Amino acid sequence: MKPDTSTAAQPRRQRAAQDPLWLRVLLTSIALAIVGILIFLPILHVFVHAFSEGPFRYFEHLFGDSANRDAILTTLSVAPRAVILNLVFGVSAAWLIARFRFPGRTLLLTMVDLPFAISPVVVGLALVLLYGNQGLLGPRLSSAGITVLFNTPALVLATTFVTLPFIVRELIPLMESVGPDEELAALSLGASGWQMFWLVTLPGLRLGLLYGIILCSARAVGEFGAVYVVSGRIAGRGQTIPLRVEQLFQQYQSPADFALASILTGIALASLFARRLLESASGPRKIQSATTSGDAA
Amino acid sequence: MSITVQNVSKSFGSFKALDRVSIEVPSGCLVALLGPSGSGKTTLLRVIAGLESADEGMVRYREEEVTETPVQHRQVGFVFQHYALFRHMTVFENIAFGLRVRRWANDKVHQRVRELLHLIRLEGLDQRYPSQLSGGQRQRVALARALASEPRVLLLDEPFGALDAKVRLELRQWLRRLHDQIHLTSIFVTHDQEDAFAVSDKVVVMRQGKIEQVGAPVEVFEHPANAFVMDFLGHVNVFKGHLRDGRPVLTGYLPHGVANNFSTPGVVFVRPHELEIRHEQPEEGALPAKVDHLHPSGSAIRIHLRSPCGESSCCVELGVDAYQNRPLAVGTSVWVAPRRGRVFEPEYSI
Repeated sequence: MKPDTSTAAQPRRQRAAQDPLWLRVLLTSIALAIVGILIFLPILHVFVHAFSEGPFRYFEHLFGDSANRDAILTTLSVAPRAVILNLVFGVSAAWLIARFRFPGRTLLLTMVDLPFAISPVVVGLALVLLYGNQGLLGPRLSSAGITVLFNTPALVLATTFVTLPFIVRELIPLMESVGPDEELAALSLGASGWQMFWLVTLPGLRLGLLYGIILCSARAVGEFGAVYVVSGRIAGRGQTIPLRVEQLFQQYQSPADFALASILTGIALASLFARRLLESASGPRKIQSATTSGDAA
Repeated sequence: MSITVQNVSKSFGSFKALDRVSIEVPSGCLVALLGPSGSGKTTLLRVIAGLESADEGMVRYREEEVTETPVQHRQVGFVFQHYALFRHMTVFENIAFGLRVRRWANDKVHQRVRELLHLIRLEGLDQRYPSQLSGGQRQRVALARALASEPRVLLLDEPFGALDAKVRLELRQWLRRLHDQIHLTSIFVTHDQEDAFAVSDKVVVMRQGKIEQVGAPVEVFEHPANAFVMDFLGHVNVFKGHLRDGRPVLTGYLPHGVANNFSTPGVVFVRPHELEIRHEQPEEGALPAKVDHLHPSGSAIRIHLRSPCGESSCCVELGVDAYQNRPLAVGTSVWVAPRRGRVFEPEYSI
């Protein structure tokens, strides 16, 4: 059997290396054309349009308009809060799911993925129903003097919901691959539960956490659908950058809309770059830890 | 610190990992829990450590009952199978961990860690990370970390399992010497009888959540309590036969696959070194065989033989000197005769 498979594998490998030049050129050009037309060109277009009246006008569009300034500030206040909420939820949920077997675990694991599957508009509508004047929680909260809907809390809730899976999904496989032994070792050495968590569990997760935070922030900043439904859509009051971009676009205020959109694009590119950087920085360490568990097994 | 385990049972779902197990480990003793995988040896170790809770039964350290005491408060040193070193901490911080969480003063921590680094002969590597160490070095760091805060007992889970043969041999001797220096009551788990015999004062042989035999290595090897222990502790040949006046009489070969069925009656167990090779047919009780393969192994030579019909095989171990007096060629027809053999009462499973 053995010689058969090796002789069968060899010609295949040779053929892959000897694909005709025209085929390789064709496939490469198709791939480049698709990436170029679908991704690169539109992004380039955003920046070209944004700067079409020169850099001075660009910054005037961004910061000269009070509604635009407010949108930037709103996003800067909403996104970090959503990320912090997700951080707390993500770490605790990942720990629960990776370390314990309990009834409802599979359900929790599935629900964590729900925000990926559900349309953000539905999330927004659900929040409106829940916190609206006729909703389950709305009247009670407003009698306590808390306005959720069409206010910053609703923006934070909607953003948190939509970005929920990012950090948990990053941490669960990491925690499962590391296993509980380091934590048990900490306990056997006399550490309390909290000491174990702060000194062993959390530091072991820091790369995964950083990675999750970057992805989560990028998504939180760009969220549109759910936030669109729960915001008041009033210029200069509780509008995030994506909402303001859409509004400017509807009012034919070009290139101001593109100027603001370029910020979103810039954040997206920066986070991808940060992710790459993190990957290459953690690359050798990841390989080392893989060999650690490899020769242990 | 002596350890007493009384009637401990533990189940995982429907799987009974420990079934009313009792052992006694005298103070300062180094004990090996030996058994195949699934025999419950690791579970027993973890129950003793407090990493698993017993469903029933009791664990005592000297007179103190610790059955319900969480692992943090048991003052045990536990060495995990895959070391479980904190990968984000240096060797120094790994060893110091148990002292820091117990809030030792900084200068005392430094003094103690230096002592341990000297003990494990890793001075100069204290600023390395676990990923920059070899398997044997990691193992020693794990041991130092477990010993740092002067535990009452030392528990090791498969301490040599993940090491290559040479490092394994060195570490075995080193662990034995270390134990002779510090006399800490220690229990280690292994599936390898060589590990168990090389290091321990006392061997506990386990199978299917129960203890089969307890005794000193020589005692257990020379007087196995049953067919399982006999088979598990080293190579053994199994023949059809019986004992007559204490002398084994072989009446035939067993087909392959019967060897591990310990409940077959009419079976004689003979260790390879207890078999002799004869060139002429001796008195009754010997079997004809054909030399199949010669396998030099240190001071002995293992001779693998086949039954004439080729279906079954057996193995004879000869001293190199004895072999050189009369060398054998592959394919030679000979007779195998037992000097010594054992029969066991068949086991009845319920």
